[in-house]
Amino acid sequence: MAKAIRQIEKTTPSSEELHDQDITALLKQIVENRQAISTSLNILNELQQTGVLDTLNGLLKTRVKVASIAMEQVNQPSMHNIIKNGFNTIEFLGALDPEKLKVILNAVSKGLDETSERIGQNEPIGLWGMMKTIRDPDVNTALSSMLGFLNGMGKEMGKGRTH
Amino acid sequence: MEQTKITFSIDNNEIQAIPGQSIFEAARDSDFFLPGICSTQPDLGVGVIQTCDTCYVEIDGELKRSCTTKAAPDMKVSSGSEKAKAAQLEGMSRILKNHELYCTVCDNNNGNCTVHNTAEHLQLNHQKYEFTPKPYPPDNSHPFYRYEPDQCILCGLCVEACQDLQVSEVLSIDWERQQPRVIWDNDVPINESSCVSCGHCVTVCPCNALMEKSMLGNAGYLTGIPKSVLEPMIDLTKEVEPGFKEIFAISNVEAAMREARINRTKTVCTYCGVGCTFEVWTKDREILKIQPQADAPVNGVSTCVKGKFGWDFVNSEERLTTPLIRKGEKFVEATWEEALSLIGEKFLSIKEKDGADALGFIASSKCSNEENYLFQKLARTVFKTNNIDNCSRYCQTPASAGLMRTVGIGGDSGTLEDIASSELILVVGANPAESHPVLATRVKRANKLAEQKLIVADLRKNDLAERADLHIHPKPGTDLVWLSAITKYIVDQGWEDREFLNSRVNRVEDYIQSLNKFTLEYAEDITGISKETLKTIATMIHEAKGTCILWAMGVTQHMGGTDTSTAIGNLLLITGNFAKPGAGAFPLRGHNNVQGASDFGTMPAWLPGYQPVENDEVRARFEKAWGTDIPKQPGLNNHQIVAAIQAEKVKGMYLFGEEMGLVDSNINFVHEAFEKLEFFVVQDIFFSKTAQFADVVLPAAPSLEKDGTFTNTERRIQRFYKVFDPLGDSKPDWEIFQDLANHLGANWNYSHPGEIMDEAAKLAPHFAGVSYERLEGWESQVWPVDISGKDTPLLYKDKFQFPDGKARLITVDWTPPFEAGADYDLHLNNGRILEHFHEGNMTYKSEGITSKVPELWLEVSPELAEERNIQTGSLVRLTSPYGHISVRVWVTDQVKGKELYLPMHTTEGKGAVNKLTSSYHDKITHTPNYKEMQVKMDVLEKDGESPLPHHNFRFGNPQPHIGVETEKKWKRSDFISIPELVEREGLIDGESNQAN
Repeated sequence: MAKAIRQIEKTTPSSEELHDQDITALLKQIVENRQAISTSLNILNELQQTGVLDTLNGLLKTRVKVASIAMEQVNQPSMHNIIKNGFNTIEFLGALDPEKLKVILNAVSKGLDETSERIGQNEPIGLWGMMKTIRDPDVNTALSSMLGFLNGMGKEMGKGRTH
Repeated sequence: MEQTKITFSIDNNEIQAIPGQSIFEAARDSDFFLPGICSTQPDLGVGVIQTCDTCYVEIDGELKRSCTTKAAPDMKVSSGSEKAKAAQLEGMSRILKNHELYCTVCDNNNGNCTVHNTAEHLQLNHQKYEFTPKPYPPDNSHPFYRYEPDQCILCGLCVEACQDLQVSEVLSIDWERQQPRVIWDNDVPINESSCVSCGHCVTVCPCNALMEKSMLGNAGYLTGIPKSVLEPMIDLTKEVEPGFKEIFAISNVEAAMREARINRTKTVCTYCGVGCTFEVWTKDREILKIQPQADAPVNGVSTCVKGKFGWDFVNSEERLTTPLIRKGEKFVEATWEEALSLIGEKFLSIKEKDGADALGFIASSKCSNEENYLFQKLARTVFKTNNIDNCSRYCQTPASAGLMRTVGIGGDSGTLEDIASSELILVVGANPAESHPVLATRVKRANKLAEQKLIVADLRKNDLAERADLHIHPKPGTDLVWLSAITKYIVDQGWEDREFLNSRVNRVEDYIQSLNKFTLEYAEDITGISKETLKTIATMIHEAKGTCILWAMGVTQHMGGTDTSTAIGNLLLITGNFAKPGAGAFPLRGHNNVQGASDFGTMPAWLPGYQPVENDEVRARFEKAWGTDIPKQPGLNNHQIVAAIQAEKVKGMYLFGEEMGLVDSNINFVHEAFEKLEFFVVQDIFFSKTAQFADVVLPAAPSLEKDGTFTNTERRIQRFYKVFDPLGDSKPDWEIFQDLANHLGANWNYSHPGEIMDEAAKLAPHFAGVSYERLEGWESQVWPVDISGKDTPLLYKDKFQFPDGKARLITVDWTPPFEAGADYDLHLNNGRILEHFHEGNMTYKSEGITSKVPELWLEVSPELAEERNIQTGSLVRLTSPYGHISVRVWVTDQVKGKELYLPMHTTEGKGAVNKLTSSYHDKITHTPNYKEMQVKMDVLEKDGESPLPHHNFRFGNPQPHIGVETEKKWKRSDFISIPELVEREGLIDGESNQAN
């Protein structure tokens, strides 16, 4: 003889009971991860002492404001250039063949050595001397590679030209 | 039959193609990437739409679209030549003029963004045309999705999906304005349009222009960033222009990170019998979206509003999460142990005292095959009774019975493919556009694009009737008469399929004799349909190569429901419309597992697989497998159980997943019965009306919280996978049955539903080759499935399901419908509507759906409204001999004259149609005659708010046309074709001939 009823007595746990349940669950987790938690606490302690946590706390609390300000600063022409140049440089480095670059860099390094020696001697050189030096196989190699470099550079620069 | 393939080459790679395939399709099938944003969806309707211009390839020095150019033997195609590349890049650049790439902070950056992936593949590095915002704000008016014109690439996939796949014909691209955009109806906010919220447009959108609101700000790690930070970030990215390569690199990392927290799980929809499958995307317990996939065997990318957006109920706070036991005037929470002990003790004591048949078991057509299997095993083996039934008794049992009589199997004789490819569809007493929306899309599409003919017989001018080549309105409850008259006329004309009848059908002459009384004159007199119209229908059937008949509750919920279903079987047999593609009988199952619940044995006379419980050999097989004896006598069905409770013969009842207290007919009588029960167990996901009568309420888990299979209306078995853990202490229904059985010493040991299916497959020949391994992912099996796993999409190819393999024509006669008496002057029709499901316990939990349809209404014809001096918003009381309800009126010409229509969706019972219906029923199956009632109407208030808000699709203004109308784009003065531009700009430096 059961009439339709809607009354449901919910044995909703009191807030204290819920609290206790949560604490029990948390304690269990802590016990299971004792080492990780104790290490983390040490790290936190260090961060606290150095004031890093305070700074982070401030940043997080004002995150939207800070992010807006940061974006405003970043969104300036000079910053755009820095970022663009950054990207270009990275792209440039990415395009270089490390083997070739190594040869060049070694050569530059050796060249610098010679340079510093010459600076010490401070000897004047005449036109004839210069001509003679060009014939020197080492100098000749360097010069012709430089000309090659100029040639390549010119080609790239001329790419925009129409026929 | 394997077609011979042709071979051609793309960029010197050999590619195989089926003759007739386009270059794009052949490449796609061979996993060779060709760009083609507007070709990434399967054919939505008109085939290729040619809007994205990214798929150009070079053939013999000429640029051609790979999407429209057919592959030819030995053709040499170049996709990588300079000329082809230039064309593809031009196409992509035009798209990016309309679409800002901020992928990393975009919610659509989930690895499947077509625009992102195509741009990345093309290695487009800089934008040729500057992105320009369109002068339109985003449209956020709709509760479930938004349109952001600024991101819209104008590919028109959404338009194509709406016009030619869903065929709601709401979306267009207005190509004629300065800045084209997608518009709804004649350019109104989305929420005020005729949009039915099916979600097709959102699903096919290749970028983030159309997105589910549930995704916005939720899917990505950075997408929740407030606008004040986000906008400068996008500006910065644009300003610095690091090149798209870098943008893609970062966004790809972010997309990969999303995989760690977004789960994609396949599920099967539970909102009707069509059996749509799709992925559920979730983040913890939050549902981000429903993502259909082209691989889904039934629906592909299609969904309806409920399947796409109606899942909020799963996380509803109103879910039952702990067992409840009635103590005096209230329910108190209990442990599972307490609840199960009490159930065991009470049921066993009733069994001791009054016998096993004093117990009744009502199963659920919303729950899985495995759960239905276990429930009948529980009833039969633990409690030793066959008093078990499911809710197909309320809807579709007469259809099954009619088919079992004539062709032998109670199910659709073919699949959706047959419906889509048929030349003629005859819909009788069904409203698939609202009750089986995705199935209806296939009919609407074939009718719109493939010249399939459509005849609708219904009291209401519903969506399909509106589109039909012929809509007939027979007098209520007279379908058998006109169906038989057409059959007779066909025989009289000599149009019957003699060869088919001679070789495959029994009782032909007897049956033809029995048709004598069904002359056209008699039919016209009884049904009100003119002789000419009847002849037209007969001629259309005769002229069509194949006819499919689709029917539902307008046929079955009558006193002669089984007989009318039989008449449909007879008509199809006479015309030879079985056992061939594009023809057959399609009783449309209303709920997700109406077919499967009966298939897996929750019926009083049948063990799983339609094996008679009375048959000693069958029973012996089950008894051996189950290790216990089972009762021989068929038990009571739903209807008889209620009567037996009233007669104090059934005293204990166990019901799961069914709102019997609202959906059974004559519910005042049913409630009385519930009150008489000594002990009543109700298992549900919500505290339903039925649960209010229970002694113990058990909290169950919905489909998203368990594994299992459902069987759709096609007899197709499909797996669904667990998305979430059960909420609170709720449990999957199969676990609850097992726990109860084990409480009573049954010692069952199923650890996964797959093991239950294995057991059923061993015992039921229909399912011999069904297994979870074979149903992995998007795989499905249409039963009967033989032991090798071969399934049977089309039934009866070799034999009908009778010992001699021949079908039977069955003589039936018309049963005049119930008449309530002269006082009751209005006919009451009733049924479903698109937005809600069943009584509405699930769908009313969705805020968006409820905003579209907040309450019930009564459809009243304009004639009747004028006669009674009422209008939309008037409050009326309807009275039948069984009860009364009050409800607000919507005046619509969907209904005619003195016919009313009352939807069934109410959780409160205030407007419950079944307070008005009677306990009369189908003679054979005891299905209630829900559709046979007359009422009288009193006006309570003349003025009132419309029960249906203005922003409901029913008040929209659709704009039908075919496809996205790309020609209009090409006619624009600012349009230059890509090949022309490539030549003109000399983009390839006159060196095109070096290609290849």
